[in-house]
Amino acid sequence: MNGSNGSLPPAFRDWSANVLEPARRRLPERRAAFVTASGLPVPVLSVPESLEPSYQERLGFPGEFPFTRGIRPTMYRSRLWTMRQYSGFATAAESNRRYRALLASGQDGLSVAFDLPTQLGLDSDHPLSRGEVGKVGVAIDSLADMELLFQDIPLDRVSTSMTINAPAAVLLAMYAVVGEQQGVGFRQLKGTVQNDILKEYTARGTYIFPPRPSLALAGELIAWCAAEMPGFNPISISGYHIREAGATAAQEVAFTFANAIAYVETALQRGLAIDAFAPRLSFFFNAASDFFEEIAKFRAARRIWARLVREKFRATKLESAMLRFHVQTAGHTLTAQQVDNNLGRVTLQAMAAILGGAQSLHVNAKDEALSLPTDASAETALRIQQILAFETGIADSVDPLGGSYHVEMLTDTLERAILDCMAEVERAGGALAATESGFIQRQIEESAYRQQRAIDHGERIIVGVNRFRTEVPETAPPATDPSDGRLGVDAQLERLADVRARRDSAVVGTVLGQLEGAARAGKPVMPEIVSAVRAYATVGEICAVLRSVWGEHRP
Amino acid sequence: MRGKILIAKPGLDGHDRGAKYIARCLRDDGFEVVYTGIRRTPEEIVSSAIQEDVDVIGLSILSGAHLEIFAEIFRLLKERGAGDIAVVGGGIIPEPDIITLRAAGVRAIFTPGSSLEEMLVLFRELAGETRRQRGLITS
Amino acid sequence: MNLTAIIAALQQGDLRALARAISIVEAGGATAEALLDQVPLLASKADVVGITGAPGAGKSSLLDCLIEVYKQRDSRVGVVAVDPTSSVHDGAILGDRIRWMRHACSPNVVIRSLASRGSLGGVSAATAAVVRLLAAAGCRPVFVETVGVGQIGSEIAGIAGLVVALTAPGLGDDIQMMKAGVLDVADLVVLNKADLPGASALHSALAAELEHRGGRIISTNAIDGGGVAELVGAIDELRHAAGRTPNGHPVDRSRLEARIVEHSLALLRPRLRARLATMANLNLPPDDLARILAEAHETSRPLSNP
Repeated sequence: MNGSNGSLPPAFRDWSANVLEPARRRLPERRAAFVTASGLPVPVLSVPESLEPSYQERLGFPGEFPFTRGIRPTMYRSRLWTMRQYSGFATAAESNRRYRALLASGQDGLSVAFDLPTQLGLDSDHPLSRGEVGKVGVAIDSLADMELLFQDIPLDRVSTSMTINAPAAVLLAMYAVVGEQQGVGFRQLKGTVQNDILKEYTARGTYIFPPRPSLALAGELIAWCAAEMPGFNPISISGYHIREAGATAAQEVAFTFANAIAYVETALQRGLAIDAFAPRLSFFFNAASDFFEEIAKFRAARRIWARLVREKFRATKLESAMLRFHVQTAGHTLTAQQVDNNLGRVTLQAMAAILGGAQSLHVNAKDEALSLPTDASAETALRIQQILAFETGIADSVDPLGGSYHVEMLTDTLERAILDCMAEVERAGGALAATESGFIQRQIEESAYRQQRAIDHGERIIVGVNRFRTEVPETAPPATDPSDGRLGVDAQLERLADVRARRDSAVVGTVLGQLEGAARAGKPVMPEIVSAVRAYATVGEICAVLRSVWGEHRP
Repeated sequence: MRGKILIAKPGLDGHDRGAKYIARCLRDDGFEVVYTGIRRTPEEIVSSAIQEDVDVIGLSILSGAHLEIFAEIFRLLKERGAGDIAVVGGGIIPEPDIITLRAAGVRAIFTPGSSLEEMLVLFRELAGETRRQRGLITS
Repeated sequence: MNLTAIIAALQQGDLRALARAISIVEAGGATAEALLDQVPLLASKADVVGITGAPGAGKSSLLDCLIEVYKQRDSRVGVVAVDPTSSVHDGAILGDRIRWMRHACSPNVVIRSLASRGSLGGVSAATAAVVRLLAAAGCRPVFVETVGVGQIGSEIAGIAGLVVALTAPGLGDDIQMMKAGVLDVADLVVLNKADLPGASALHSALAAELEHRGGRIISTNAIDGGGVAELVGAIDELRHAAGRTPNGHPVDRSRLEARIVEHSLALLRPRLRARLATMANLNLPPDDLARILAEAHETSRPLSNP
């Protein structure tokens, strides 16, 4: 292996000198030396004694094309993955309090979950919002809510991730304007906006407009960010929800990449150069329970994406071809029975994500199948990440499973399965046409049916569910206090009424009219949305204008 | 044909994996299943259930707005003389709410721990009961 | 159950009574016969519009556009959608309604989903009777969407006065499938998804096929509503033409023959099926089978002269 320099292959020495060492100088490793628990040395990377030509082509060294072994030369030896636990709190004021506490304790990334009315472009006082305001995240109606959400939080010093899709343009505009109010320019803002509308039609369900204008809007946001907010990831292309909806591991990656191709093509049609935005594309995948398949999936995905970006889209920058992704452990594998078993599941899933080279990770709390996690279970989820990072040593060497006959074979197998599935989408007309025709939805549904069937017929064993059941009564989910959210809802409705009463309604009318004009003419809408947000037009009003022009999606 | 069921997802959340799976399992068990999709209002659900003359309405709710939604559905069913349609629900619903809903007339609440077999048995019973009442089967 | 009361209520437009009457007719048997005896026959089939075509052609989406147009008019629009019953399980997923949920609360739209229940012709045995009930409840027109079948979709001609056959690019060997049945009974051929690649080639192929049969091709796009106004115009034109002459709009002899055969089969089928259902087993000598067929034919007589 690589104990002494003498037996190392020349390619490894070249990489060491030309890639690894400069990278170490730029970003030192976490420790001067990495050793096992018994004090034996742990190498940064293990390679075979002699490298066949196919090694460079199929695996490459970390930080080198096609990135199968990882996108950075030293991976977690220099910087651990970001431990980002997604969470939603009912009101802007309550969220603000929690954010400030998190920042005070040293966290530098915020993650914002929005309630369903906000995700669907409905104001809190809309009839359909009844019973839903502030339920699964924070309710944002107007700029006033966003101001409250980030009050006393210096936006030039945090990075903010926003899980928002159909009205992503509106919420991002609000974030930008709040930054401006603090004296932070658009260009200094850092973060990620999900903005992945295509998977909403096939998997997650929070769409508003039909696919075509929605894709165009997503493309516009990518272009707008490239020009105005270059520090922001303008999209997080998500396989997570596709997997949760029932897709297989290969389908998860294939449908995600098919969507990614549609976004890239949309951005290219707007005149952007591939290297101008490809390095800012980020991804979001699922880590389920089949340990080696998941690891192989992440490795295969990196290889496919690198080749795709270089060969299909002719990218030349190295960063353009790097697949950067966030991972969340698989919510659908959590069981309501024997809840503590979920700790074992999420730990192994998190481990697969780390061994697969994820850039950031959310570990589900054990009780997420039953309710919103308690503070204690949310804390344990974070502790699991810390145990993996600091106690197990799995983060101390790059791609420790690389070269395993089994893992490499599975990586190749997954790669073929993903490419086959991508070819099917291509034959169905590409992601947009295959979404409109329901092709992707049917594929996912079929897989979901087969998997659940196998569980119900006992062909696939789920511990505590169809085998090894205990006859003690299950603990019921904790009660929700009905008065609990009510106060927040009333305050929200009050603030909304107050904003409507105090703003200059003539200005709101004018800016909304300009937005409608731009949308009808097929012109950029982002500048008009920014003006509307500044005038305190609400999310619901802005989306209503766009609904009137683009229509609503009916499945 | 064991009976006719309407499966719907009221509320704003879009996760329909469970609802679709139940629809297919009911089909496999010999039911005719009207699947109406996500984000249905109580008005749409009741109006469709009446036009389709279903025996049972099955609602999948994950968004947390279950108390409001079931209340409105019962109000509309009663108002339109369709109180004979049995209503069941599934989702992440806390125990005290289950008691409230059962008292309000929901015939059963399935939680993440319920087995497919117990759900099918209950649908068979409820559909048979409604159909006998309606004179659509004699046995 | 008081059938007379149900019929009186449905004729007043009561949706609950209409829905119950349809369930009774679907269940079949003596109650169904007794109920249908009291329901007026269709004065004309001109107000019954069949929508047929291969799976994936976009029947439900196009019908959604048509409902949107017709619901603005004075009378109620009726819709019957037939989905296949699983041959293995005897159950069915009735999934068309999901496309029409925006009409769910419209007082001018009545929708009923039916399972084919063993019928192979694209509609269920009860479909003709269900159409009669909808008409009796004041629905004009009544649309009937068939199961998405290609070759065996012509049973609809026995029920509808006007058949619209749908196709779209990218469905594979659809011209061949349409030739073998649907085109024979189609009054209008709709080329849906006309913006997709392959549409103009498909249009040429259809035009060539229709050259010696007659028939009109209309291009539509159900996603943006393109061509829908033209289709509505053509449907109304043919409905009115059919209303003027007892034989309906001009059709050539072969098409008329196809209609007569389909119509007769539609009437015979439920009787035959009901008779066969009463048999303990079908391992009978051929002579007995012939006798049963003759008997079934005999029992269908009173209805075959509506």
